[in-house]
Amino acid sequence: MSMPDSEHWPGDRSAEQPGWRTWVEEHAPRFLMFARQKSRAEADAQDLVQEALIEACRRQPDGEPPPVTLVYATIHRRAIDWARRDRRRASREQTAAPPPDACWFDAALEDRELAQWAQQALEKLPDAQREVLSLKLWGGLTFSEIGAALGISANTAASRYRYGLEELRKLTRGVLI
Amino acid sequence: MNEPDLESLERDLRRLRPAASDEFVNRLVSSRPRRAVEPVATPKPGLFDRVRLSLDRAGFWLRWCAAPAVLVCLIGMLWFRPEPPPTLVDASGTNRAHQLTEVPAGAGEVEIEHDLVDSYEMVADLPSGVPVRFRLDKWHDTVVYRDPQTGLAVERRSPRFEVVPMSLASY
Repeated sequence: MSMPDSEHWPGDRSAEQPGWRTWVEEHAPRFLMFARQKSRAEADAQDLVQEALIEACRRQPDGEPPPVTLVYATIHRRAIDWARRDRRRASREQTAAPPPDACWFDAALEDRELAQWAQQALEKLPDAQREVLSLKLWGGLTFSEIGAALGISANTAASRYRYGLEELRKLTRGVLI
Repeated sequence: MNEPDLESLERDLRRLRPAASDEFVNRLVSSRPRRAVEPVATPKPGLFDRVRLSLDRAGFWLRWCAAPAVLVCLIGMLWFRPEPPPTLVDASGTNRAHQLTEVPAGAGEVEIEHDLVDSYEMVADLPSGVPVRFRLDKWHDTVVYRDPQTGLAVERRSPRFEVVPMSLASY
Protein backbone atom coordinates (compact mmCIF):
# COMPACT_ATOMS: atom_id res chain seq x y z
CA MET A 1 0.00 0.00 0.00
CA SER A 2 1.32 3.42 -0.79
CA MET A 3 0.09 6.88 -0.04
CA PRO A 4 -1.67 8.76 -2.82
CA ASP A 5 0.29 11.53 -4.45
CA SER A 6 -2.38 14.03 -3.47
CA GLU A 7 -1.12 13.83 0.09
CA HIS A 8 2.08 15.55 -1.00
CA TRP A 9 2.28 19.19 -1.88
CA PRO A 10 4.41 19.85 -4.93
CA GLY A 11 6.89 22.62 -4.49
CA ASP A 12 6.46 22.74 -0.75
CA ARG A 13 9.88 23.25 0.79
CA SER A 14 8.61 23.56 4.34
CA ALA A 15 8.62 19.79 4.67
CA GLU A 16 12.38 19.81 4.27
CA GLN A 17 13.08 22.19 7.12
CA PRO A 18 15.88 20.96 9.38
CA GLY A 19 13.69 21.06 12.48
CA TRP A 20 11.09 18.84 10.89
CA ARG A 21 13.70 16.34 9.67
CA THR A 22 15.30 16.16 13.10
CA TRP A 23 11.90 15.62 14.69
CA VAL A 24 11.06 12.85 12.22
CA GLU A 25 14.43 11.17 12.62
CA GLU A 26 13.96 11.12 16.37
CA HIS A 27 10.39 9.89 16.51
CA ALA A 28 9.82 7.89 13.32
CA PRO A 29 11.45 4.69 14.67
CA ARG A 30 9.30 4.90 17.80
CA PHE A 31 6.12 5.45 15.83
CA LEU A 32 7.02 2.61 13.54
CA MET A 33 7.74 0.34 16.48
CA PHE A 34 4.27 1.00 17.85
CA ALA A 35 2.66 0.60 14.44
CA ARG A 36 4.36 -2.78 14.06
CA GLN A 37 2.43 -3.93 17.12
CA LYS A 38 -0.80 -2.92 15.40
CA SER A 39 -0.08 -4.45 11.99
CA ARG A 40 2.15 -7.40 11.46
CA ALA A 41 3.29 -6.44 7.96
CA GLU A 42 6.12 -3.94 7.77
CA ALA A 43 4.69 -2.11 4.74
CA ASP A 44 1.34 -1.67 6.44
CA ALA A 45 3.04 -0.38 9.57
CA GLN A 46 4.89 2.23 7.54
CA ASP A 47 1.72 3.31 5.76
CA LEU A 48 -0.04 3.49 9.10
CA VAL A 49 2.61 5.80 10.52
CA GLN A 50 2.58 8.02 7.45
CA GLU A 51 -1.19 8.41 7.39
CA ALA A 52 -1.35 9.07 11.12
CA LEU A 53 1.46 11.61 10.94
CA ILE A 54 -0.19 13.51 8.11
CA GLU A 55 -3.49 13.54 9.94
CA ALA A 56 -1.88 14.71 13.18
CA CYS A 57 0.05 17.45 11.35
CA ARG A 58 -3.13 18.75 9.78
CA ARG A 59 -4.65 19.14 13.20
CA GLN A 60 -1.88 21.51 14.22
CA PRO A 61 -2.99 25.08 13.48
CA ASP A 62 0.49 26.54 13.98
CA GLY A 63 2.26 24.15 11.63
CA GLU A 64 4.52 22.84 14.38
CA PRO A 65 5.19 19.09 14.72
CA PRO A 66 2.28 17.43 16.49
CA PRO A 67 2.50 16.11 20.05
CA VAL A 68 3.81 12.56 20.05
CA THR A 69 0.88 11.39 22.15
CA LEU A 70 -1.48 12.63 19.45
CA VAL A 71 0.44 10.69 16.80
CA TYR A 72 0.35 7.50 18.87
CA ALA A 73 -3.38 7.95 19.46
CA THR A 74 -3.93 8.51 15.75
CA ILE A 75 -1.95 5.39 14.88
CA HIS A 76 -4.05 3.42 17.37
CA ARG A 77 -7.33 4.76 15.97
CA ARG A 78 -6.31 4.31 12.36
CA ALA A 79 -5.27 0.72 13.00
CA ILE A 80 -8.72 -0.01 14.42
CA ASP A 81 -10.32 1.69 11.41
CA TRP A 82 -8.24 -0.34 9.03
CA ALA A 83 -9.17 -3.58 10.76
CA ARG A 84 -12.85 -2.72 10.66
CA ARG A 85 -12.80 -1.47 7.10
CA ASP A 86 -10.88 -4.29 5.58
CA ARG A 87 -11.54 -7.65 7.17
CA ARG A 88 -9.39 -9.30 4.57
CA ARG A 89 -6.48 -7.22 5.74
CA ALA A 90 -7.12 -8.17 9.35
CA SER A 91 -7.32 -11.81 8.46
CA ARG A 92 -4.11 -11.59 6.49
CA GLU A 93 -2.32 -9.79 9.31
CA GLN A 94 -3.41 -12.39 11.84
CA THR A 95 -2.16 -15.29 9.78
CA ALA A 96 0.84 -13.83 8.05
CA ALA A 97 4.20 -14.21 9.69
CA PRO A 98 6.39 -11.13 9.79
CA PRO A 99 8.82 -10.95 6.92
CA PRO A 100 12.23 -12.28 7.89
CA ASP A 101 14.05 -9.11 6.90
CA ALA A 102 11.85 -6.84 9.05
CA CYS A 103 14.05 -6.24 12.04
CA TRP A 104 12.39 -4.12 14.67
CA PHE A 105 15.55 -2.96 16.40
CA ASP A 106 18.66 -1.18 15.29
CA ALA A 107 20.94 -3.07 17.65
CA ALA A 108 24.68 -2.99 17.98
CA LEU A 109 26.63 -6.15 17.34
CA GLU A 110 26.65 -7.19 21.00
CA ASP A 111 22.88 -6.66 21.28
CA ARG A 112 21.77 -8.43 18.14
CA GLU A 113 20.99 -11.66 19.96
CA LEU A 114 19.01 -9.70 22.52
CA ALA A 115 17.14 -7.85 19.76
CA GLN A 116 16.27 -11.08 17.96
CA TRP A 117 14.96 -12.73 21.12
CA ALA A 118 13.04 -9.62 22.17
CA GLN A 119 11.30 -9.40 18.82
CA GLN A 120 10.32 -13.05 18.89
CA ALA A 121 9.08 -12.79 22.46
CA LEU A 122 7.08 -9.65 21.78
CA GLU A 123 5.29 -11.33 18.90
CA LYS A 124 4.02 -13.98 21.29
CA LEU A 125 2.50 -11.50 23.73
CA PRO A 126 -1.15 -10.44 23.61
CA ASP A 127 -1.71 -7.29 21.57
CA ALA A 128 -2.85 -5.24 24.56
CA GLN A 129 0.33 -5.96 26.50
CA ARG A 130 2.62 -5.61 23.53
CA GLU A 131 1.43 -2.15 22.56
CA VAL A 132 1.77 -0.87 26.12
CA LEU A 133 5.28 -2.30 26.35
CA SER A 134 6.17 -0.65 23.08
CA LEU A 135 4.91 2.76 24.15
CA LYS A 136 6.54 2.57 27.58
CA LEU A 137 9.91 1.06 26.72
CA TRP A 138 10.63 2.63 23.33
CA GLY A 139 8.05 5.38 22.99
CA GLY A 140 9.10 7.01 26.26
CA LEU A 141 5.53 7.78 27.31
CA THR A 142 4.22 7.87 30.84
CA PHE A 143 1.37 5.59 31.89
CA SER A 144 -0.92 8.58 31.83
CA GLU A 145 0.08 9.39 28.25
CA ILE A 146 -0.23 5.75 27.25
CA GLY A 147 -3.73 5.71 28.69
CA ALA A 148 -4.63 8.84 26.72
CA ALA A 149 -3.25 7.39 23.49
CA LEU A 150 -4.98 4.02 23.84
CA GLY A 151 -8.17 5.19 25.49
CA ILE A 152 -7.59 3.31 28.74
CA SER A 153 -6.85 4.39 32.28
CA ALA A 154 -3.33 4.92 33.53
CA ASN A 155 -3.79 2.08 36.04
CA THR A 156 -4.84 -0.29 33.29
CA ALA A 157 -1.81 0.72 31.25
CA ALA A 158 0.45 0.13 34.25
CA SER A 159 -0.98 -3.30 34.98
CA ARG A 160 -0.76 -4.34 31.32
CA TYR A 161 2.85 -3.20 31.30
CA ARG A 162 3.68 -5.23 34.39
CA TYR A 163 1.92 -8.38 33.13
CA GLY A 164 3.58 -7.98 29.76
CA LEU A 165 6.99 -7.58 31.33
CA GLU A 166 6.44 -10.69 33.42
CA GLU A 167 5.34 -12.68 30.38
CA LEU A 168 8.36 -11.43 28.53
CA ARG A 169 10.61 -12.49 31.37
CA LYS A 170 9.14 -16.00 31.24
CA LEU A 171 9.61 -16.17 27.50
CA THR A 172 13.15 -14.92 27.56
CA ARG A 173 14.23 -16.85 30.67
CA GLY A 174 17.62 -18.31 30.19
CA VAL A 175 18.37 -16.13 27.22
CA LEU A 176 18.79 -12.64 28.60
CA ILE A 177 19.33 -13.28 32.30
CA MET B 1 7.96 -12.58 41.35
CA ASN B 2 11.54 -11.43 41.44
CA GLU B 3 11.63 -7.63 41.13
CA PRO B 4 15.34 -7.38 40.33
CA ASP B 5 14.79 -9.77 37.41
CA LEU B 6 12.09 -7.49 35.99
CA GLU B 7 14.18 -4.39 36.46
CA SER B 8 17.12 -6.03 34.76
CA LEU B 9 14.94 -7.17 31.88
CA GLU B 10 13.45 -3.70 31.56
CA ARG B 11 16.93 -2.17 31.52
CA ASP B 12 18.09 -4.59 28.83
CA LEU B 13 15.04 -3.93 26.66
CA ARG B 14 15.42 -0.16 26.96
CA ARG B 15 18.91 -0.55 25.56
CA LEU B 16 17.44 -1.59 22.24
CA ARG B 17 16.67 1.13 19.71
CA PRO B 18 13.70 0.80 17.34
CA ALA B 19 14.81 0.68 13.74
CA ALA B 20 13.50 2.66 10.79
CA SER B 21 15.07 2.70 7.37
CA ASP B 22 16.41 5.93 5.89
CA GLU B 23 14.02 5.46 3.01
CA PHE B 24 11.07 5.47 5.40
CA VAL B 25 12.37 8.50 7.28
CA ASN B 26 12.81 10.42 4.02
CA ARG B 27 9.32 9.42 3.01
CA LEU B 28 7.91 10.87 6.21
CA VAL B 29 9.99 14.02 5.90
CA SER B 30 8.68 14.70 2.41
CA SER B 31 5.09 13.87 3.28
CA ARG B 32 4.60 16.73 5.70
CA PRO B 33 1.39 18.44 4.68
CA ARG B 34 1.52 22.10 3.97
CA ARG B 35 -0.87 24.29 5.81
CA ALA B 36 -3.55 24.94 3.27
CA VAL B 37 -4.97 28.42 3.31
CA GLU B 38 -8.38 28.17 1.83
CA PRO B 39 -9.92 31.38 0.59
CA VAL B 40 -13.00 32.28 2.53
CA ALA B 41 -15.88 33.02 0.23
CA THR B 42 -17.43 36.27 1.37
CA PRO B 43 -21.00 36.82 0.26
CA LYS B 44 -21.41 39.65 -2.20
CA PRO B 45 -23.36 42.48 -0.54
CA GLY B 46 -26.72 43.22 -2.02
CA LEU B 47 -27.93 46.59 -3.25
CA PHE B 48 -29.61 47.42 0.04
CA ASP B 49 -26.48 46.58 2.01
CA ARG B 50 -24.31 48.67 -0.28
CA VAL B 51 -26.60 51.68 0.00
CA ARG B 52 -26.74 51.36 3.75
CA LEU B 53 -22.98 51.05 3.92
CA SER B 54 -22.53 54.14 1.78
CA LEU B 55 -24.90 56.13 3.97
CA ASP B 56 -23.10 54.99 7.07
CA ARG B 57 -19.78 56.08 5.64
CA ALA B 58 -21.20 59.41 4.46
CA GLY B 59 -22.76 60.02 7.84
CA PHE B 60 -19.49 59.32 9.55
CA TRP B 61 -17.61 61.81 7.41
CA LEU B 62 -20.39 64.40 7.59
CA ARG B 63 -20.32 64.30 11.38
CA TRP B 64 -16.62 64.95 11.42
CA CYS B 65 -16.74 67.52 8.63
CA ALA B 66 -19.50 69.66 10.13
CA ALA B 67 -17.41 71.42 12.73
CA PRO B 68 -14.51 72.18 10.34
CA ALA B 69 -17.06 73.40 7.78
CA VAL B 70 -18.44 75.89 10.28
CA LEU B 71 -14.95 77.14 10.99
CA VAL B 72 -14.24 77.48 7.28
CA CYS B 73 -17.43 79.50 6.88
CA LEU B 74 -16.45 81.84 9.68
CA ILE B 75 -12.99 82.34 8.22
CA GLY B 76 -14.55 82.93 4.82
CA MET B 77 -16.86 85.56 6.25
CA LEU B 78 -13.94 87.43 7.75
CA TRP B 79 -11.86 87.08 4.62
CA PHE B 80 -14.54 88.28 2.23
CA ARG B 81 -15.70 91.25 4.23
CA PRO B 82 -17.30 94.05 2.16
CA GLU B 83 -14.51 96.24 0.94
CA PRO B 84 -14.70 100.05 0.98
CA PRO B 85 -16.32 101.61 -2.05
CA PRO B 86 -14.07 101.72 -5.07
CA THR B 87 -12.37 104.96 -5.85
CA LEU B 88 -13.57 106.60 -8.99
CA VAL B 89 -11.04 107.73 -11.53
CA ASP B 90 -12.04 110.06 -14.30
CA ALA B 91 -10.56 110.35 -17.72
CA SER B 92 -7.97 112.92 -16.59
CA GLY B 93 -6.61 110.45 -14.14
CA THR B 94 -7.35 112.54 -11.09
CA ASN B 95 -8.76 110.78 -8.13
CA ARG B 96 -12.31 111.85 -7.45
CA ALA B 97 -12.81 109.82 -4.36
CA HIS B 98 -11.87 112.75 -2.24
CA GLN B 99 -14.55 114.86 -3.89
CA LEU B 100 -17.12 112.23 -3.43
CA THR B 101 -16.49 111.94 0.27
CA GLU B 102 -16.68 115.66 0.60
CA VAL B 103 -20.16 115.75 -0.87
CA PRO B 104 -22.61 114.39 1.68
CA ALA B 105 -24.92 111.91 0.10
CA GLY B 106 -28.58 112.30 0.56
CA ALA B 107 -30.78 109.59 2.03
CA GLY B 108 -32.42 108.95 -1.26
CA GLU B 109 -29.11 108.54 -3.11
CA VAL B 110 -28.01 105.27 -1.47
CA GLU B 111 -30.02 102.09 -1.76
CA ILE B 112 -29.21 99.05 0.31
CA GLU B 113 -30.84 95.67 -0.26
CA HIS B 114 -30.42 92.45 1.67
CA ASP B 115 -31.50 89.33 -0.18
CA LEU B 116 -31.61 86.00 1.67
CA VAL B 117 -30.37 83.56 -0.95
CA ASP B 118 -30.21 80.32 1.01
CA SER B 119 -30.40 78.91 4.49
CA TYR B 120 -29.02 75.66 5.89
CA GLU B 121 -29.30 73.94 9.20
CA MET B 122 -26.71 71.50 10.45
CA VAL B 123 -26.25 69.37 13.54
CA ALA B 124 -22.84 68.10 14.49
CA ASP B 125 -20.92 66.56 17.35
CA LEU B 126 -17.85 68.33 18.56
CA PRO B 127 -14.77 66.15 19.18
CA SER B 128 -15.68 66.34 22.87
CA GLY B 129 -19.00 64.73 22.06
CA VAL B 130 -21.17 67.78 22.69
CA PRO B 131 -23.85 68.14 20.02
CA VAL B 132 -24.20 71.56 18.39
CA ARG B 133 -26.74 73.01 15.98
CA PHE B 134 -26.22 75.89 13.60
CA ARG B 135 -28.19 77.75 11.00
CA LEU B 136 -26.20 79.17 8.10
CA ASP B 137 -27.85 82.02 6.20
CA LYS B 138 -26.45 83.13 2.87
CA TRP B 139 -27.19 86.76 2.01
CA HIS B 140 -26.55 88.96 -0.99
CA ASP B 141 -26.10 92.58 0.01
CA THR B 142 -26.51 95.13 -2.76
CA VAL B 143 -25.49 98.74 -2.29
CA VAL B 144 -26.31 101.25 -5.04
CA TYR B 145 -25.02 104.81 -4.95
CA ARG B 146 -26.25 107.36 -7.43
CA ASP B 147 -24.63 110.74 -7.98
CA PRO B 148 -27.40 113.12 -8.96
CA GLN B 149 -24.97 115.65 -10.36
CA THR B 150 -23.14 113.45 -12.79
CA GLY B 151 -25.74 110.73 -13.09
CA LEU B 152 -23.09 108.17 -12.17
CA ALA B 153 -24.35 105.02 -10.44
CA VAL B 154 -22.10 102.68 -8.53
CA GLU B 155 -23.47 99.29 -7.58
CA ARG B 156 -21.70 96.72 -5.40
CA ARG B 157 -22.90 93.25 -4.60
CA SER B 158 -21.24 91.14 -1.97
CA PRO B 159 -22.19 87.80 -0.46
CA ARG B 160 -22.50 87.47 3.24
CA PHE B 161 -22.74 84.42 5.44
CA GLU B 162 -24.34 84.44 8.81
CA VAL B 163 -23.92 81.61 11.28
CA VAL B 164 -26.58 81.52 13.96
CA PRO B 165 -26.23 79.07 16.88
CA MET B 166 -29.52 77.37 17.61
CA SER B 167 -30.90 75.37 20.45
CA LEU B 168 -31.12 71.62 20.16
CA ALA B 169 -34.35 71.57 22.12
CA SER B 170 -36.50 72.08 19.05
CA TYR B 171 -34.55 69.61 16.92
